[in-house]
Amino acid sequence: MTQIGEIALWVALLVGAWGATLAFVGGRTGRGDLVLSAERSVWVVFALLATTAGAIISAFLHDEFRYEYVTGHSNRELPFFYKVTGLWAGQTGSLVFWSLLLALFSSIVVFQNRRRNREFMPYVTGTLLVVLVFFLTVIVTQSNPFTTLDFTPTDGRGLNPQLQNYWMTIHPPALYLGFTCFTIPFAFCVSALLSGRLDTRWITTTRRWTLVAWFFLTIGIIFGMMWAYVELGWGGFWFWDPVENASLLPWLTGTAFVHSVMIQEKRGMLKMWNVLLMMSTFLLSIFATFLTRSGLIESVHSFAQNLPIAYTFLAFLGVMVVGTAGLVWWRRDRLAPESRLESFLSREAAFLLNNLLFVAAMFAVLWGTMFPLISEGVSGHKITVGPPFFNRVNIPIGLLLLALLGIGPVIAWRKATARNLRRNFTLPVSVALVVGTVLLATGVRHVYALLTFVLASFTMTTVVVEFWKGTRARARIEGEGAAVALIHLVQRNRRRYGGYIVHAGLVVLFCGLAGKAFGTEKEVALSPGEWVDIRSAWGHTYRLTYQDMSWYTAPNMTKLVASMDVRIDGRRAGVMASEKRSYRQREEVVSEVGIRRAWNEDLYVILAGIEDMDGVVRGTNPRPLATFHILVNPLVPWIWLGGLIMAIGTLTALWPSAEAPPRVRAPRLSAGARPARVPEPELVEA
Amino acid sequence: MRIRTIRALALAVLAAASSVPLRAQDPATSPISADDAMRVANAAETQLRSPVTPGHTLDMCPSAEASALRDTVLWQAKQGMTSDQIVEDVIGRRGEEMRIVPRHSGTGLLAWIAPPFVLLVGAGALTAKMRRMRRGASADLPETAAPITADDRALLDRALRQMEREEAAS
Repeated sequence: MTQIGEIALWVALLVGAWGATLAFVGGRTGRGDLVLSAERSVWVVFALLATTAGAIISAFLHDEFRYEYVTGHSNRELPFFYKVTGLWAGQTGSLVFWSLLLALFSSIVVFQNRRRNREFMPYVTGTLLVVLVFFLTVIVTQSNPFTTLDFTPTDGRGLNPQLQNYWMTIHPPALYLGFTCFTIPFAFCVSALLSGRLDTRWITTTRRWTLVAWFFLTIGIIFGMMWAYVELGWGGFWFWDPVENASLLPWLTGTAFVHSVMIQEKRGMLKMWNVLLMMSTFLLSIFATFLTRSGLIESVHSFAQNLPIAYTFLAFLGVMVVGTAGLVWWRRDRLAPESRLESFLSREAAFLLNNLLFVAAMFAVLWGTMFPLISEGVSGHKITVGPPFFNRVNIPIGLLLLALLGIGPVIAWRKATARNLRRNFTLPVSVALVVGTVLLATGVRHVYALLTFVLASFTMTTVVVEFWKGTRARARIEGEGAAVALIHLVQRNRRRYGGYIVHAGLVVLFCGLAGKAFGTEKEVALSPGEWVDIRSAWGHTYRLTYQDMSWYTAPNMTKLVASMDVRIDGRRAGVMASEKRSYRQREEVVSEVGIRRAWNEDLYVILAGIEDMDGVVRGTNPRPLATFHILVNPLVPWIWLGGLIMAIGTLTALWPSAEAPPRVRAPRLSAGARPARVPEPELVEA
Repeated sequence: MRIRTIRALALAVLAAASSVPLRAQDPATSPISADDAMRVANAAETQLRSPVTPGHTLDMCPSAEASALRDTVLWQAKQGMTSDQIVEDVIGRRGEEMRIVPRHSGTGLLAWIAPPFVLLVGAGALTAKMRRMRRGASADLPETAAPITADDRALLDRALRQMEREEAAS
């Protein structure tokens, strides 16, 4: 099986290169047979890569430790689930997985567009295959998953303990899905530039792909935060690590793109800007992959330093930057706006400001991430840039974006009048002022947190008012009940109201982030029977009594579990467990935190140290002194809730409309047919 | 009389100033509550890098080495040192690589000024662009529109018909 996988990898590279060449030649010469051949090679590449991925999983499941990749990321006792997810646990496998997902999406695009968008497809197919060929070249030449060892060890090194977590099994795939999905609109963008069809068709055609990419990238980032929160054991969820930042960069430009395309669709403006944003989003996705794999920037997430891969990625990035910039320059005349901006007080202007802020945030994150390398280049000394820098620079930008989240959707297109502003903003501003006053009166003095809650209440009110106004109007016109009217309102305009739901989710998420300002923490050393009190920002006090330490062996590890009795203001509230796990193959000890969740806060207990761990295991010291790091994290559950609401909102916007417009099918493109003779397709989404 | 008073005041200020370090090292004469010490220590820990994990601040790193350094930082806070003093002390003993927040001088200043600079330049460029867009797109557009091709005409007609159908349906 594994030999077949390796052969499939090589054949995929050859077929991909063949297909890419045919696609561009077919597009240039207008030969439909070449284009069809290129499209079929996409399906073949997908089938071959699926075979390769199956072979890697098979090697994991059968403990084939002669393979370096399997030995480095598995062992005999590793649970079945983690053996399957071993495919993306390391550099090599994750590159195969990246390619497999891209091949899958490329196949779907080719299938969807077999009878429409034919004038785009040669260059779309070619672009997708060029990206695939690049990844396959890296895999085959520099990171082959089928590299064998000189000898076959009896057991593997095991999977990194911190990756043995359920969030970690779905966080990387979600991110990869987002990164690879953005390749589809990028390919259509390149195709639009090459074919000169720079109207809104490439945008409307790929709208759903863009939203799918954004959806996966968003949930991927949230899953990563959840993993960091439960696994890294420091009480936080985002620490501006270079690899975390790398996933945020395309999200920021992608979010700007999702907004700015609306201006092009409605007003025919920002054509050039949208092309640049889409190209930046794709290039930043590749940059994120490069950053994770090059090891040039120190990160707890990155794979080991691999300079050949780093330089290969840099070369590819360089070629893509020059190539895409050249294309934009070549087509600059066709990217002129079709209409003019009528007022600074308009939705167009608000969206432009929103775009500026997203791009500024992207630059700030990119700059901070790369600054260690930049400073080393400038002064010879590497200057580390940590979370305080990113927080100071990005929080003000985030607050401005939070305000625009409320302003943008309700300010009028073209030109807002004083009456429009009064009608839309009187209630939200009033609510925000009341919330601010109440918070000040209750003693909230943390400026950023205060501003977050004020702006969040403003934005949330605009969202609620939009739903309320729409529902009321529909109920009156159609004679429906409120609930039915609300459902029909969303059904009739999923994109708009889905967007509002996403905004509501982001507001909830921002509140969750602001809750960090009111966190409390203590680090104490306790003997069994001793207790510690810690006060919550909500006014109650937790009393945690260290009961005892137990230990037992589990597959792949030994666990030491400290149990703590929890009381809230004297009332019994259950027992919490916090663990130290010793993984046999890795000889690493990691903490598993104990979390007591409530709707408004988390009680978070880290077993930071055990005085005599060996004594506990041997039974000579069953009641050891233990050090606990205890945190009360207000509003953290709101972050996950906000993420969930955002996901629901995106799915609402994505869901196909029940009232789909009638489709006019173009005739099937037969081999030998020239795309120039194929009638123009209709305007439908992919 | 007035000069004497000024001299006396100056001496008093000097004496008070000179006594600050002494008092800072003696918790008995300058007590600092446990909560305040924790706050000072936390402030210092967020400006220092973990001795083990790249990119982690000292306060977030779960390693034993970081825990030991946190104990030292807390002890220094209990001695009355400010967070800045603690940060400089740790960097002085362990090297500049322990600094996780760039300085506001030298090369570190570059880190701080570039993002707001780019934001300001972007805002300026956006304002200028919006002014141009407001004045009219005529400057950006060709004097006469390019002739429409038969293919584009067919596409346009089809799109218009589709719009009409959609409007009729709604």
